[in-house]
Amino acid sequence: MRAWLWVGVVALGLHGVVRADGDVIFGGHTAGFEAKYFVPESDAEAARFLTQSTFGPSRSTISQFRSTSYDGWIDQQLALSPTLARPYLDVLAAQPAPPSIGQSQRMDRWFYTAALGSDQLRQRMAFALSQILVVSDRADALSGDPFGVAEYWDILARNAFGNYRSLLEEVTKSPMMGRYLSHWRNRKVTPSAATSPSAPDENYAREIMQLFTVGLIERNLDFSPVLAGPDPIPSYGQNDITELSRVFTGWSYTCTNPTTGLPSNTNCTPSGGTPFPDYTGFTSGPSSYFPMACFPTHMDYGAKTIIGGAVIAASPDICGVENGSHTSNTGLPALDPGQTAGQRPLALDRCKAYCVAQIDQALDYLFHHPNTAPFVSRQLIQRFVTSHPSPAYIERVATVFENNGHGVRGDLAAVIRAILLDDDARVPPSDPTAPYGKLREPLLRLTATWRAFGVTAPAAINGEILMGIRNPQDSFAQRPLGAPTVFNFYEPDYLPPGELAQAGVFAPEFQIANETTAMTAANEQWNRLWAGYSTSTGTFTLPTNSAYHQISDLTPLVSGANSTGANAYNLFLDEINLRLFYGTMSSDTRAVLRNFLVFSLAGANNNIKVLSTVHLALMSPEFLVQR
Amino acid sequence: MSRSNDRRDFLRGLSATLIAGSAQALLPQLGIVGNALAATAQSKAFGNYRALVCVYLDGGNDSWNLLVPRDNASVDSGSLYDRYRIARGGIYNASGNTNGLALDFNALRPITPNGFATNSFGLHPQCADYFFAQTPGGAATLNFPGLASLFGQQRVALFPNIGTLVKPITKATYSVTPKPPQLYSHSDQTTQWHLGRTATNHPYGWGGELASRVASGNQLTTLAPCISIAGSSRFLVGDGVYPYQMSTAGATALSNYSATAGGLQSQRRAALDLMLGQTYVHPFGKEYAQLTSRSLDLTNTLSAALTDFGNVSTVYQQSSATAGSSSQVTVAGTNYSNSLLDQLRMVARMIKASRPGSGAGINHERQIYLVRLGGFDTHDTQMANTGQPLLMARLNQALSWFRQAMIDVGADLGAPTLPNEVTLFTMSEFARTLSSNGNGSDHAWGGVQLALGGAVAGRAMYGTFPNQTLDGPDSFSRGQFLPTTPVDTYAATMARWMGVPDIDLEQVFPNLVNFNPDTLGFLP
Repeated sequence: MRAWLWVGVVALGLHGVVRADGDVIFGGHTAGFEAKYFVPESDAEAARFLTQSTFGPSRSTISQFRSTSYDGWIDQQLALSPTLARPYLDVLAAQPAPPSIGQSQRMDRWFYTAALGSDQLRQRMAFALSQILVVSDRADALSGDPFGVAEYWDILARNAFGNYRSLLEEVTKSPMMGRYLSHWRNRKVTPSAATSPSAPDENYAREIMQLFTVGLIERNLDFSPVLAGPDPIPSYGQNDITELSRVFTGWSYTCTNPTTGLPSNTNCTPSGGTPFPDYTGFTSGPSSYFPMACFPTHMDYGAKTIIGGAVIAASPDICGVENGSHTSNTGLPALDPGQTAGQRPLALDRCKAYCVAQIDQALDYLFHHPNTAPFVSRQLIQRFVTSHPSPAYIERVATVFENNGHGVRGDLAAVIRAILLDDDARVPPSDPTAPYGKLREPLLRLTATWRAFGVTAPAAINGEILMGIRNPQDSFAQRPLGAPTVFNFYEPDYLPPGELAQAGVFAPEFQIANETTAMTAANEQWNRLWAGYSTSTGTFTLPTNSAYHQISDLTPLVSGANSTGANAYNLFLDEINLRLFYGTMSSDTRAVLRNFLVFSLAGANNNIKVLSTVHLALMSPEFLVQR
Repeated sequence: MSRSNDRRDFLRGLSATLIAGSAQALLPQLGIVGNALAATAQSKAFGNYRALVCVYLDGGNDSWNLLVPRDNASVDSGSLYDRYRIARGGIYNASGNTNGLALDFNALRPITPNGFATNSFGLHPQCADYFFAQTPGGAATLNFPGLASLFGQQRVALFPNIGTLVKPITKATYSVTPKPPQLYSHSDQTTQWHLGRTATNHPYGWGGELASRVASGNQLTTLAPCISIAGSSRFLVGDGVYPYQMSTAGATALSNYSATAGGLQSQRRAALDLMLGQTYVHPFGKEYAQLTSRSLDLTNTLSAALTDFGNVSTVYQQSSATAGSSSQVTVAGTNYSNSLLDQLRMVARMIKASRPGSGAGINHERQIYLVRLGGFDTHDTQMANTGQPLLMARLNQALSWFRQAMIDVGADLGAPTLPNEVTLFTMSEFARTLSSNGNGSDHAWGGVQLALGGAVAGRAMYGTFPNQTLDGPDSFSRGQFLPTTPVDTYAATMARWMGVPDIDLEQVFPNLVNFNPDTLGFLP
């Protein structure tokens, strides 16, 4: 095992501690006058940047961006407060005639924010983080709780430019994560004879290491495996998982006993008081989205030796009674010798503090593990810029993850700036055959189309804005906070079969690209694109239950003098080229679209001309690959 | 298996040497070995049909509740069942013992494997015969045999304690024996099961490796011999084999682009074909263009084939009165969906349309299908009705239906041997800890799999049922079992049945050299 030393301080609020071994080498681009990429030189360059950093460029965002600088635009985006999801559902629920609120309402809110929210970079970052720190409303435990899942999204959005360590803590204490990876109501070993022995649930302990922080094998800063001879070195073993699982014990919905004012170890109803036995039923409501609270009765207070040999010391207090009867526990710790009942709350507070502190300490170790910076940085690069980043690119970003230039580790604002303003992001390789860029994520194809062509939301009905798509997984194989498993829609190491696998090229998005989804995605794009428009006559009827496109800026470009002569349709095709292809459409593709307009659509209604051509462009491999 | 070929022995030796080296070093050399051996493999038409259907139980099936010892119910008798009951924390009871993961002795469906005392093992209670009503609200009078009955009819074989292995291992030799990397990890163990090897950097799965060796007699070459109803999986990828993926609704057409429809549709399609026919130099663009073209090409062929030649009449529990509606399963009075049965319905339809002589013009001789049922990662509320009982009900009913469907399809095609031509089998990345985590179980290693089909030598257990004492001779402290049968011999048995020459088996399964016997004998 690699020598790895991080001197942690087990206390709240001391997360910015620098590694003891750390000579800090700062690289990458940060805000400043010396920035290499100052202003976008063309509309096309601006559109390309906005394709990487937002849910898609529009004419207006291209103009706004061109009036500022790269750093200036990022600074503006960092300053925007998050568009939140859960408060929207609260407002909706308070309407005079509220709809029944489920995940569909959460979906509408997500699509509305992606299409029309101004905090585009923050929401893209939240979307990227949601594909690393995965919870899913496809799981039974979460499907009935749209408020809890919406709040989980808000955790990601609020922390999108914050610190990864804080984010990790909020995620760990989120009851949605608790329920998804089952450390909610996780209990210490109960060795009593009255019931059977059981061990703590290992699920979260495993996945927080494998997927959220260190990964399976030890990595260098550029993500290359650390080798022992020819072999990679596992980052941790089964025993490390078992030990760490003991740290994530004792947590459940927050809940206060209305009589005693003490936290109850049992669950509580949405009205906030009446306890009912553990392990029955499921409640939604406030207790299901507040951070979980610790119930020391069920917390493992012994010493643990976790990853890298780090020791979490035992609690000085004995916490909890071990009568083994889960439902009859009171949540109170055993009395110490000589202690009276009146003194017990003091011990309870100490036990609760230990419960929090041991998670702090464990998260600190994982956060400071040398793998975490390259492991997280690489996946973020994959979500924004390129599926198969160069080791040097990963290293430059991971270096910023390790130190933002001011001694702070895990500063996600600095990380996203480093990702977007890196040479590898700004300048595509000159070789057109290089496996650079990424297959656009299906949902980002939809949002890019919406934003490129005047997406408009219908008027609210009883406070509810209907975007027209609530089960995107059926057509796009993607659903915000709705992955099939904790391994997301696709895995960072996915190798598409054939030439790409032979060449060892990672391309995660291809994991959900197949003969079926190629068709279902194109069909759903058609439905979204034509919402409100008749496919036979082109007549527009204002939809009330779906987002729609406003294309009146384009119809003049396909009619009159713009549709005849040697320059026929050139202005229109220029717009498509800019908005969907950031100026990179090939002459061959342009010729196909132009011939389609000239020979097939000559006599058609203008709306039909625009929408038919746009849909064809959406199936172009040149659009589908973001380069 | 014959072991007389000198050249092959030489290569075997070489393989073994390489296996002793690292995963990184392995790949290029194996390429050389592969080429040398490939020259000896012969492509040929078989003149008959055979298909494998892999049912992937995603998340790690707690299969120690699928197959349970049932020798003696008495408490403290020291019986195998008693060991099981103790190790699992006692019999689950929603109001008494919520920790417990053990099934009640009397609820088990008794079975009698060859060589064991009568009814000395049991299957999960949900493996009973499949009684159902075709439409909601009807009386459940229709009836197909469940897995317990099918086991008794010699249609099902069970494999206790299969898992990923490099070579034989015991607790005593654990610390000094090479082990599969990343035990207990979902993604890695899934990959190793799918690859049939423990070096996870190999690009092909064993399903794809089989297909590239046995499917040269398939007539419609635009349809891959490997077909997934379960999304992408490396299991089905082979050298030159790009698995075809479809949904439970079949091949999905591109709307508004029909080459034969009026309006602007045919013109749109012509323009699209031109666009996809361009040369794309970017590898991702090229890949997506090929994918889209492949899909467009096959849609028409398969849609027509399924409509005209792929109707399967076998009844099932429908979610509505509409014929062809999705399937349902009822557990404790509540209805749930059953995507596994829906996926197997599409497999049955494809088999019917694909088999030589069906009339659809596909005429495939060898096919490998993948279906998947999720939800097996039962860390939580495992024993509630929505947990393991529902999963087992879905599995049991889907398999029971599929077996009946093969009989019916055979009758429709005038090919009564069809049930013998299709072998269904399960895979799952690992079994789970025998001990409870409070209301579920955690990731472990060896577990139970099953195979179903007319060619299967059933009513038998292949391999050794382990001692279920926690931290006993066969397991670690939470009841993580060291496998005694490797994935490799299980898979190699099916590979050979599909027609992979013996000489190729150790190419497909490089760890096979470490095991004797190298196949399990449950298929001819």
